[in-house]
Amino acid sequence: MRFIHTADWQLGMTRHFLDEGAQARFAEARTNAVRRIGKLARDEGASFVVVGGDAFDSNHVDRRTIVRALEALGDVPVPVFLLPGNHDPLNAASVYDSSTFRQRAPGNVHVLRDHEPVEVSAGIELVGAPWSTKRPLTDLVGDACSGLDPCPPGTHRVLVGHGAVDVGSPDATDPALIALDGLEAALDDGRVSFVALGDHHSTKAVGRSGRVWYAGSPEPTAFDEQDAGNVLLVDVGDDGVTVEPHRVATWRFVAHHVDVNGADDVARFGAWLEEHPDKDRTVLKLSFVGSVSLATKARLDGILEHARDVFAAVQLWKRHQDLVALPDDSDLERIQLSGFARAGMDRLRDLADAPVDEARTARDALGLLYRLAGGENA
Amino acid sequence: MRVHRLRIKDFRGVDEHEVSFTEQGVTVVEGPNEVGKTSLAEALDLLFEAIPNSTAQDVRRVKPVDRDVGPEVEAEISTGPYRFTYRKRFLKDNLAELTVTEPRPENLSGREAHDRAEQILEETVDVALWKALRVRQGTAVKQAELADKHALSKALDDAAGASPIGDRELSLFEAAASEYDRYWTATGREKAPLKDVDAAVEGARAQVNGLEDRYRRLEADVERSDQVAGQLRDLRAQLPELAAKRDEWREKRAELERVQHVVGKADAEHKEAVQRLARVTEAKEARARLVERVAKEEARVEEARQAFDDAAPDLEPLELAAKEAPKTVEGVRREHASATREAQLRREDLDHLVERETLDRLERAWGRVDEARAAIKAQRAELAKVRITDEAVEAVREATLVVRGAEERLAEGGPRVEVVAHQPLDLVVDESERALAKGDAFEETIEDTLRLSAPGTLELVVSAGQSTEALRARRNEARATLERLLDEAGATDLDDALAQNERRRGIEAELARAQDRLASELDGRETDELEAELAAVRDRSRSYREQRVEEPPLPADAEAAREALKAADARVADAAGKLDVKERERDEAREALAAAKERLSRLDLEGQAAERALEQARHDLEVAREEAPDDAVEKAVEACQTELETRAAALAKAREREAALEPETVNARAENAERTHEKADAEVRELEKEQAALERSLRDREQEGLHEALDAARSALQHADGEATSVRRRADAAKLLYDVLTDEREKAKRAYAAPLAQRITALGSVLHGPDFGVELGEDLTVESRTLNGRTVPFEDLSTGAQEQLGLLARLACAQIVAADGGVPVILDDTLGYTDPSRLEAMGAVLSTAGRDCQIIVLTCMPDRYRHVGTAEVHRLR
Repeated sequence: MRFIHTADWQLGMTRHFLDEGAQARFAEARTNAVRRIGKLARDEGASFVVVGGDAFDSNHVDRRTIVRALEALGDVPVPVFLLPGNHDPLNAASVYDSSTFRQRAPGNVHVLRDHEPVEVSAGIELVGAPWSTKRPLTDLVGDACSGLDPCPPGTHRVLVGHGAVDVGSPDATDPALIALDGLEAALDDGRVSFVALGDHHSTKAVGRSGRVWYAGSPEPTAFDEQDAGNVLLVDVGDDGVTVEPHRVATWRFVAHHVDVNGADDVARFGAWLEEHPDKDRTVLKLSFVGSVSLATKARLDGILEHARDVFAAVQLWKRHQDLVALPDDSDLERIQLSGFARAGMDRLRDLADAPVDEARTARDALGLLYRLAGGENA
Repeated sequence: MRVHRLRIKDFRGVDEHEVSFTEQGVTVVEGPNEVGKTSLAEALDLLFEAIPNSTAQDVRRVKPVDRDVGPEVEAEISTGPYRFTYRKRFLKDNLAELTVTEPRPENLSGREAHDRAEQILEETVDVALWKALRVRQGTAVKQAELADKHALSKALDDAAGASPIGDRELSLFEAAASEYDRYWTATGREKAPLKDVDAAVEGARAQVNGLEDRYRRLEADVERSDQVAGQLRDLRAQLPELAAKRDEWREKRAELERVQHVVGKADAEHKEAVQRLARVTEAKEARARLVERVAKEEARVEEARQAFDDAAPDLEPLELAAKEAPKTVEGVRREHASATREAQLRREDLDHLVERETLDRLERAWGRVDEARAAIKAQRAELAKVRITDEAVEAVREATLVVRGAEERLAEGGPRVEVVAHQPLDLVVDESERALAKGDAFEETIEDTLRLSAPGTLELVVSAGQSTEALRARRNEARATLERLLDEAGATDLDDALAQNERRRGIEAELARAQDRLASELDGRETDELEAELAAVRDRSRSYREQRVEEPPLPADAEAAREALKAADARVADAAGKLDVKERERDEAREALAAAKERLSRLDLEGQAAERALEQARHDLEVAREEAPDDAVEKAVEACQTELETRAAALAKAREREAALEPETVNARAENAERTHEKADAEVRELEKEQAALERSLRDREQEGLHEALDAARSALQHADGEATSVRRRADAAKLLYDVLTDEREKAKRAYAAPLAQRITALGSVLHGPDFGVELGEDLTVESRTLNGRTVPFEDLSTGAQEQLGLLARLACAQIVAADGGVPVILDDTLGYTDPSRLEAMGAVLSTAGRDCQIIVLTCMPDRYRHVGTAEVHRLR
């Protein structure tokens, strides 16, 4: 039996560094990821899709987000099972109980509302561990698991859960952590064949079994994700389980650090930018460190200005930003100032070098002077 | 730039005139105004500024009024590398000719000539500075506007040692200023771009806050909803158990109520028996009271009768006493009357006896009156016998003394005889014998004659003779007077007169005493009155004795009578007191009798009333007995007591059963079970309501898409924030750049103002001496002048001093720019305000300045410039 395991669609998520147009494209790309999953299912012969939580970024997403998601889900040719996760728990305001969802949900869409086993087809059943609140006080997956009998022969059981596992979790006191031991015991004694988890946005298997997986987000959502943008093609059979990640992402999040100390570095950086494919679906986070002349800085600014127009977003990594632009002799030659103007510029250079609060403003002022004096055109 | 030669033709009132100027130094052009010295300055302007075919006001003004000709100007000028002759004619036969001789020949005419001349000028001359340095007639006191004059700035920069500034720097400054102007007001306040981005951030933040608030409320509602669901689950699970418990206690309570019903019935029956017993007991007691009443009434009747009988005998003595009392009173009253009469008699007796005493006194008084009257009569008879009076006595005394005097004088004047006896001797002297013892002696005066004889022995007669005649006559006269007086008084001599007079006085005193006695006895009355009173008293006394009763006898005297009266009065008082007592006793006896009678009557009535009451009581008892005989009443009481005991026992038994059921516990627990169930039920309903409300509210909000709205708002805030930061950074940079540039520029200006000030000071020293200085402002104008240690602001200086300073500044500028070609300084009739003493010094100043530059002075007052020693003078005619 083959199916697709995915999770953390986070539909309705917005990224503040995206401008309005980019945000729209980003949202569209993530809705279309659902369609791509449907296509993959058809292409690979998967008989259903299981989503390990957080299909929606919140219970309070916009109605249009729900409608678009349901449209995309309707395009999926196989049944889709949605598990309420920590972002979209099955509480009083659950998106899955919203009138929009109830009225518009296509027939192939099912919500795993409790941990009653659901027989998907002959020989395979799903057991969900849905979140009903944002702060559960127990290991929901463990709870769902504990009431299970061993699978009857010829039947395979997929446990669908959401949340962090206790091994390697930074917050060991969280009572909702999923006990990996328990899962592995259940896998060992045959109560469960595969555990499809969500929450972690990167694709990753946990534990020793090779049968406990985080599918990761089908489109990346942040710079710190190691391996986002995949879905898992899972085969469960009497002779075991095979898991095959498939890349479905169209967007990329790239964080990049640049040392700039001269015109060559700027040129290299320009080339690096140029090499990027799919620039309009690439989000950059850049940090510059170094010291350059005003002319070089002006060139870098020009490149960045251009990049902003081309890339989905160019974000400067404020915390790691340390680029000092000061006029050098060639700058001065270029603008050839004399008299009071020269004296003013010298004063600003002194200020820009001094370790005072004004230094940054002085550097800005120097840049401005350079520009007003026509240095960039010279 | 130098003007070498200027020629005007048909220019205002001037037909034609040509002036040559010294290239370096001062040229003074003299001439009255109408001759057109000002026209020279004007002509130079027109030559360069007016196009050849211009009909502008400036041009038309210079046309001669009386002739139809075109005004013409021609100048020979060198500037920079150029030297040229430039000619123009306006209005009529327009003409423009430019003949350049250096650096290479050029010949141009018309508009081309004009344009080329302008070009050369602009290329080589700071026209603005040139114009600034010109002083027109009447504008002398204004300072030249020197700031931003290119040639000057450059020259000053050179002088100050700064690198030259050009358009590049100025345009940078302009650009920086306009960049600054985008963000900041002139006073450094924020302008729209900064305010706008701040407002945008505020707006975005408000938006985020609002949405976050709503989001929090939404989250809180969701949480509450979960909580409510949990509570509902718990409560619903508890409800059936609570209901069961409640029903159990309801059953127990029903049982209790049944038992309590029985108790209630037994209690009612018991109460009824108690009441019944009370009723029959009351009947029994009423019968006893009735019997008792009859007995009591009988006793009262008996008592009344006894009281009447007891009181009746008292009446008789009282009646007797009442009859006797008036008689006693009468007896006493008679006694009283008798005593009163006696007292009257005694009082009259007393009066009578007192009058008798009066009568005695009167009788005695009357006797003394008689006596006095007799004495008076006797004395008066005696007095009648005496003739002498006091006056007669006195006259006798006088006459006696006169006689005695006369005799003495006779004796003294008459002869004296002294006799001494040497042996006892009897002598007769004038017939009187005198016996003398041995040794006796006597003297004798002889009035007439003295006869001295010693009987037997001798007789001696001595006569006085003639010598005593007159004395004797006087003595005889006196003796005669005395004799007459004694005769009249009936006396023999003075002593007798005196004695007789003494006796008369005694008689008179005796008479007066008798009269006094009489008057005293009469006491003012007449004798007749006394006599009449005496007679009246005598009559009354006698008549009382005759009329008075014999018994009792008249007391002996008034004292006795008084005693008798006192006794009689005592008897009267005694009788009166007794009468009062008796009368009171009589009244009391009467009252006692009446009271006794009254009491008897009352007792009689009481007796009757008691009899009636007894009758009624007997009747009542009889009626009651007819209704129920006494033994029946007795029996009813006994029956009721028995019944009550039975009922009480039944009630006690029922109560025992009730108590066994613990009614308080059952009620309390049953009540509690009811309440507990009700409370839980109510809570369930309440929670259901809340849940429904929350669900409704959450459903209502489900369409809001708060999550994305909030995210979008946060993004907007971040963008606005970023934008604000970036705009502010740009604004700060612009401000810093502008501030720094402005500051540096001012500094530079101050730096190159120094050489100008230096130049002005140098020139001024010529005028004022070494203690002269000026301070220049940033626009290069003179701000103040310091002279002899006193600094005065420019505007406070006198007009003459201002004029001089203006001129000094212009000359200094001209000197500064001279090295670079310079511009001519044209002064049109200046120094009008300068006093003659300074004019000489100004001449020196102009000469000094003239060493570096071309100075053209136009004047109609040649005296003003006489002291410019180096000047070349040109006179206009």
